[in-house]
Amino acid sequence: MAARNSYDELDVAQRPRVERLCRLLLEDPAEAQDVAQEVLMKLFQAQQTRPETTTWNRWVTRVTVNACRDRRRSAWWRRFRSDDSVLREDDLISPAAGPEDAAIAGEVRRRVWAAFRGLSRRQQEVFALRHVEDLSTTDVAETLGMSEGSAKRHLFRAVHRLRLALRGAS
Amino acid sequence: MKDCLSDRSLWSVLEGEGTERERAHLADCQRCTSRGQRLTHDLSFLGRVLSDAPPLPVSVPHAGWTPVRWAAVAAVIVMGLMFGWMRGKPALDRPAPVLADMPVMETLAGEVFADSGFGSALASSDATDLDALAGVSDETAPCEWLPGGCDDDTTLF
Repeated sequence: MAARNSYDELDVAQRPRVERLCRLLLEDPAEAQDVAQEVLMKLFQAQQTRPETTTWNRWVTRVTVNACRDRRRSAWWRRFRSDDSVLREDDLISPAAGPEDAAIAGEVRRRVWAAFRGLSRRQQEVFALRHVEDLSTTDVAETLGMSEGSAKRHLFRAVHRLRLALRGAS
Repeated sequence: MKDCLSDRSLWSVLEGEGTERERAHLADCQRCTSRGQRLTHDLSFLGRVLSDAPPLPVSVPHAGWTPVRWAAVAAVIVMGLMFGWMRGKPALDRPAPVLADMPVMETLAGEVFADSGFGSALASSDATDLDALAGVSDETAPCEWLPGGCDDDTTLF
């Protein structure tokens, strides 16, 4: 990614990816948008001060993961303060699907998301970076500051549990 | 098919790792090939589900619950403050209350001890309890209490 002069350009190019990662690592979508905004501002400032840097994608991933971790650490107070929330299953169903397909798809997606939320934080991070962000296992380990062996262990456990959820096993 | 790859080995091979023997087995074994395809499909599907359609939580305000939650916090704070205040003033360090500062008690003492002489002594001044007792009982005090003591030897036994 080349250094960008305009914040708007950066926003268009990076926001979808940053928001998607934040939504995976944080349960509250509003909070995810909030953190994504913070990350984009940091990215913009960093690009202004270090325009010669060329490895921004990895930088963005690392900063996003760290920002989400920070947000989760201070989440207990906001969780207490905020209203309770529930999943709305209608949001899981593609509008193009028929009623029966929609019901099945909705059920499968609900199971997958519930299983993902049930993973440990490390497993969530590793799976998101490897299979949603498409990083290599080596890059995942480096981004999360862990050994490659540890990243593989977390990843395999995450894959195992998510596949069980996919098959409908508890 | 007892030599089939374990889930972990199969996953490792698909991740681009695994031993030469495991890779060779995957290439030859119909069952493991099929398992590998299913795993690849599952991972792709899981990635799509988690990237395309994140579920949107809906904010559901619980009108009855939120005030109760805050009321509980307020109650705990008040109890904490009271507890701290009471512990900060130990009973022994507190000055004894003076009757003159408590009109109700003063009146009550006057009524109760009207006949005994205590009431007037208590009500007339801001003297301490011992002074009041001494004032009332001066005339009938035992000789041992008096400054000169008892001159009569017989009083000792």
